Amino acid sequence: MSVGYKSIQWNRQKLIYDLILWASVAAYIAIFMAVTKGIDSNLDIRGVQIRAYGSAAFLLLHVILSIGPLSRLSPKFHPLLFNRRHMGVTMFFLALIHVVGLNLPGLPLKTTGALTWYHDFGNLDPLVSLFVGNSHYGDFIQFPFEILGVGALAIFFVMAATSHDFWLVNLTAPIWKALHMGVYVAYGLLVGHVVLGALQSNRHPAMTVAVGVGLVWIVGLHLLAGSREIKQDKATLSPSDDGFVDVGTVAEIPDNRAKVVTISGERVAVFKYDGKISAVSNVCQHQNGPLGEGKVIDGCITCPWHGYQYLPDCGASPPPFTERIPTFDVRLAGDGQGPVEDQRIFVRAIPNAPGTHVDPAVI
Amino acid sequence: MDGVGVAIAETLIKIVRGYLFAGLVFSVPFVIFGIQRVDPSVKGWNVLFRVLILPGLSVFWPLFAVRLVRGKRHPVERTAHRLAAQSASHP
Amino acid sequence: MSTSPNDEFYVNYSKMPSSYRWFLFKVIPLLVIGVVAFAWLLPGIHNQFNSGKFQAQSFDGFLVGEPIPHIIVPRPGNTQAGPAFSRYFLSATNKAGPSQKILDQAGQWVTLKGVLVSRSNLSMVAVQSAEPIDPPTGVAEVRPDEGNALGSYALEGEILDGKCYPGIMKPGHTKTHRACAIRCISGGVPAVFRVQNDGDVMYFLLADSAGQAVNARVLDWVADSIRITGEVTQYDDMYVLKADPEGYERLG
Repeated sequence: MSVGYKSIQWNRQKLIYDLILWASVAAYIAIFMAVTKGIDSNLDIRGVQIRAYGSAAFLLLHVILSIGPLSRLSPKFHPLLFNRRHMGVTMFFLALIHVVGLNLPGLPLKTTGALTWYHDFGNLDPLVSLFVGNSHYGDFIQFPFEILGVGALAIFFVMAATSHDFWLVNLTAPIWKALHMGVYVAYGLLVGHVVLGALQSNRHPAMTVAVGVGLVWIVGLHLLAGSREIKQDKATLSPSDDGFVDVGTVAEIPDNRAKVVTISGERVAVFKYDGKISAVSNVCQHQNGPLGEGKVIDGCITCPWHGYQYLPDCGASPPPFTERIPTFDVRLAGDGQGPVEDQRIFVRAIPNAPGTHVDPAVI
Repeated sequence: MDGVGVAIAETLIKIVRGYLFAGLVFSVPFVIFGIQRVDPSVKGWNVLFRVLILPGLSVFWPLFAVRLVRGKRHPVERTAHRLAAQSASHP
Repeated sequence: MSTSPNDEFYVNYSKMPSSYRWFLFKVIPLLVIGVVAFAWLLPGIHNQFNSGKFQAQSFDGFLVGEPIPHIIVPRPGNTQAGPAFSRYFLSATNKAGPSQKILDQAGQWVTLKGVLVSRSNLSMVAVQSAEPIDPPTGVAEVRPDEGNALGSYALEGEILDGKCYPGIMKPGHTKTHRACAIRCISGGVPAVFRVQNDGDVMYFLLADSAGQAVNARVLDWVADSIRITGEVTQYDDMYVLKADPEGYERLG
């Protein structure tokens, strides 16, 4: 990145994405409140917004957590993946409104949050009351479920606050990703928050079943996607005496696409394009996306996640961009003999420094 | 409700508030003046961008304070291939 | 790796390939249907909405301060069939007991202005102000401490606060309401013991065996399932369960 940060890089698709997202959230809250009102017109529905916003955030979190593994299982989900951060930030704000309410000057939507609703107007600072109100910290069933929610909200805050690309660059993608893996801790905390909170008061079996199905869905999807990845990573290739690794034949790689193999503890993407073969590290510098699942477009390896691009022969983004990834020496065996498609590709096991030019192997 | 619990909760809340407030005190001038020394990709006067990163800076401000004092820019990620390439070129 | 025959590839800043577009045309409506379905179904399975009612009202009655602040109001009309008085326990309009200014008038007849908060057969008054008045004529003599001892009982139920439970909270009891009830009770709102017998719900105000307020001593028991063994006394239409908090037992 060297063209300067923008607050939000909106394009047409991101705009459509956000509009659908926010319209769905607004529809959920509106329908939830309207249906509640319809149960009994005499009912005082103040305070029900806390449930509407809380459940909206919890449901949206399930969608967010599903997109990752679904994208591993099918690239068709990439259009949902590329702007997932906006979903995450939206989810954080829903959770925040659940807690502190919404009372912006000039905005007609005003709601009271759980912090005010349950903890204010008493003889303690509401925030202090939040931590000491229920003090059964040593008990499982009676455990103060509020604290689990506080933990999840804190994680969501850090994730939302670091969602801009500035943070990917300044924390570096691996650390940023590790930080954002905190979403799984937050999800666990939220399941606890719901099970030990709302489900203890709402004994309707459908609620319990819904939370259970959600948990099984999220865990199952991750195990399914994860087991595929592990199989691939286990097949690590070792170099022969000359330091090169046999990664397969030219015929295995479709045009403008890559074959992914694991060498030197990380995946390598071996691309075939314009009758040439080049190999680069599989890890996109932006968000560590899987470049090997990308495609060569306009002469550049294009990441399937956010469309970051690299020149295949040197692993550098075209100017003015400055990303650079490690490259690998490649050569073909059996040059000039036998069918072209049967030529075997060899990749040197030791990577070159990021951005190093390597002559592509010509088929 | 015991007094010890209240005292602990009050203290923890004060510590967190103090940390975030100190972060804000550092971050506002940093985001206006110092940020380009740490990340040259910050260009122009994009006010909304600087406001957007302010909450995160208030959390991670010690990291940026150290980089600013040491005159360092943001690091480059460390992956298995980058480390292998580095050790190959500097044995 | 699997690629579609014409090898379509999605980049967010380029035109979306048709296979991706068709896929989204199927997936997004499904998601939206899910959103609507949950919004439609969830409110219905929150099966514990409070039907609490609020009504601004003024009461002429005899004010009692200890152990449970309440007002004794003469019942209008023929009272042969039941008690001659109704008793409403009191709180402030926030999570606190009535202010000291109001409690200072205990032992006198007052006109009390406030909000009558009621949920089924539990009613209380959130007090805004009280002005002393002359005792009314033609009303039976008020005996605040004279009750009808109903005997000793072991009752199983849950302690909740006397204000938010009948009032605004949904459901106003069980664990989700614990912190709020603790704020109320520690602030001086009378503690109420809710006992459910099949469909019937009975409410008992709590005092210790010496007839003193228990607020500060029951905080750790609020919203938990407990058993209290003590003497039940009926004061007009108000039931008080007298037992020392040290003898409360946790269930389950």
